[in-house]
Order: sequence, then C-alpha cells, then structure tokens
Amino acid sequence: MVCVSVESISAVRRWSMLVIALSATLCANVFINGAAFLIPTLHTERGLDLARAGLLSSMPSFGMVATLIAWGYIVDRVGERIVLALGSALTAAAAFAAASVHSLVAVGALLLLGGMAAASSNSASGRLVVGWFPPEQRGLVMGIRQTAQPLGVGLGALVIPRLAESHGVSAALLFPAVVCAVSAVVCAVAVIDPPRPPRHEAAEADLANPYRGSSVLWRIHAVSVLLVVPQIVVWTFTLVWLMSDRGWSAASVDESLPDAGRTWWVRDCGRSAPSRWRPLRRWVCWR
Amino acid sequence: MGLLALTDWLDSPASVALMVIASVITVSDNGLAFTAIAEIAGPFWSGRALGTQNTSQLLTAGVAPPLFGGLIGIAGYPAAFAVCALFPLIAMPLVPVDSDPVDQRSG
Repeated sequence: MVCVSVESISAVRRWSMLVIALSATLCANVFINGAAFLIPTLHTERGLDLARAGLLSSMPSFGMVATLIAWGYIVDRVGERIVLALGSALTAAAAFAAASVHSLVAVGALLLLGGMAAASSNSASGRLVVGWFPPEQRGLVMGIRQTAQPLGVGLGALVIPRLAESHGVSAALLFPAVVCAVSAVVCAVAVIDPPRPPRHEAAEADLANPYRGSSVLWRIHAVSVLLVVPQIVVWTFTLVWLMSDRGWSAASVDESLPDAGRTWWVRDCGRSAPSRWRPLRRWVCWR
Repeated sequence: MGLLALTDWLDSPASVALMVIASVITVSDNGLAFTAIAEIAGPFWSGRALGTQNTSQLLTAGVAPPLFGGLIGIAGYPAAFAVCALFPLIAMPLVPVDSDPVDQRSG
C-alpha cells in the first residue's frame, strides 16, 4: 500500500517534503532552544539571577513535555499539514506576544505556551518523512530530519545573542517569532499529507491500538529510555569529569571543547540522533 | 561504558579516548527507534507513539543528571560509569528483533 502510494508525487516533491519537515522542526527548535541564549542579557541587563534566568530558558521545554502526546493524537486525527501549520503559527504568536510584554513573568508564561505549541512539529515532521519515503530510504531521511535540532540551536546561537545584546530581549524574541511565522505559511501551502485511507475505510488492524496485544512498542520505548541514560551521563558529566577527575585545566578544556563541539555537530548531522535536548544542554554547558 | 569505568578506575589515559568513543556510540540508536515506531504504529497511531517516545526520552534526560550526579558524589566516577554500563545490558534482551518492520515488509 505504502510503496504504491508514495509514487503519487514526483521525487522532487517528495524530497521537498523532507526539506519542509526539516525546516519546520528547525524553526520550532530556534524557539525552544533560543531562550537559553537570552540568559547573558537577562543576567547582566535585567538583573535576573542565573537560577531564574535558567528557569526562564527552560520554560519552552516544560511546555513541550506537557503536549507532545496530545499533538501526536491530533496528528493521528487530522494529519500532518494542519498540525505543522497550526503549531508553527501558535509558536509564532506566543513568541510575538513574549516579545511585546515587559514583565518577565509574562515572558515566562508565553515561553511555556510557545513550547506547548512548538511540540507539534515533533511527531508531525517525523511522520511526514516516514509517510512519503519507502522503507529503505527512511533511515537516511530520518537522519537528515534529525539534524533540525542542532541546526535550530546553531541558528539561534548565531542570531539571538547578538540581537539581545544590541536591541534587548524583546527584539531577540522576534527572531524565533518571524522564522516560525514563515514556517507556518510554508507548511500550510506546501505540505501534502502522506497517503492513508480514510478512517472509515481503514482496515480494522490499522485502527486498532498497537499498544494492546503486543509489547513491541513498549519494548522500544523501554530500550530507548535505557539507552538514553548513558548519552545523558556522558554529555552531562564529561566536562566536570575531565576537569576534576582527569586533571584537565579549565583552559585546556576550553581549547578542546569547541572542537569536540564540532565533532558532536557533525555526528548529529551525519547520523540519526534524535535527542532534541542534549545538544542544547551541551551548548549551554559550553557557554 | 564498562571499559571507560575500568580505565578510569585504573587511572589510564585511554579513558579520555574512550569517553569520546562513548559519546558517539551512545547516540547511534535514536533515529532508528524513531523510524521503527512510526512504521510499527502505522498512520492512525504513530503520532501518539512518537509523542510517547519523545516524552519518555525527555523525562529521562531530566531525571538522569541529578541521580548520576548524586551517585558520582557518593561513589565516584568509575562506579557511576560502571552503573551506566548496566543500562545497555538490561536493554539488550528487550530489543524486539523478531518484529523488524523492514524484514516483515520484504518477506
């Protein structure tokens, strides 16, 4: 079924779906991770202590955790195009609103709401890619889609600190707002939902809850949780381990980490690393 | 991670190289799981299944640092790395190798 229907669009159009999926997720990540790049300005100019500035920067992530499954449910009901367009538009709206208020409590609340909206791109862009490519290409294209997160962090790192430094926090928040607004328009216009039968014509087996009667999905979730623990430990504690246990000086770590950062970057670009939050953690660590 | 624990415990310089290797190996599985979940769950359930996958990963990423930070504080780095090495060992028998979606489609 899938093999026949993916032929219904040209190869160029199919690859354009990958580009859209990648860029929608990238823009969402500019918003989700971009708040971390406001920390220096929040600290020095708005007088926020680091704990509070850090909390503010993690508000989008809190929002994401709360809504990932709910957005997944909406994708299952209404398809990828609506979710990608609506989610990007809501993220842009939250970012514009955050840029227009002065109270930091209000900024925090809007960052939380924006994170709740930005979670939409996660499942939807993954499904767009899986739905339009044949099984033997999915590993590669999913790997390419996964680069959205480090690329989003990178784009945010290039633009947001400079804007914040020269024009203030509000102006810096306009950047994720604009990229998400553009992404919303592109998704609304150009995304084609991958082919699937209408709900009432779908086979009973396709509509059945895959978590019931089979442990496969539960096992994949469990394996992934177990395997993410070493990633987190390595990424979180390498710096302090090098300095306190291996006796590296802060200066030598400083010299070698930017290179390590590039290595990580290439790794994330070249293979299928989904971890949406670890590059951020590293990034923040190094700053 | 086991070798890392051992070399760190022996105070060997090889531990730094092993840390670099570990940082690459530990991420290699993530996209595979994401793709497989979308395939297995199908077009009417994969949204929720992918949401569940990311939620569980994100929560683990939030919980692991303080727990391992505490463990390092109590027992030191080699012990924490050794505990860390147990996680993939526990994961190994759980990998559902008999339900590979690519195999099923071609065969």
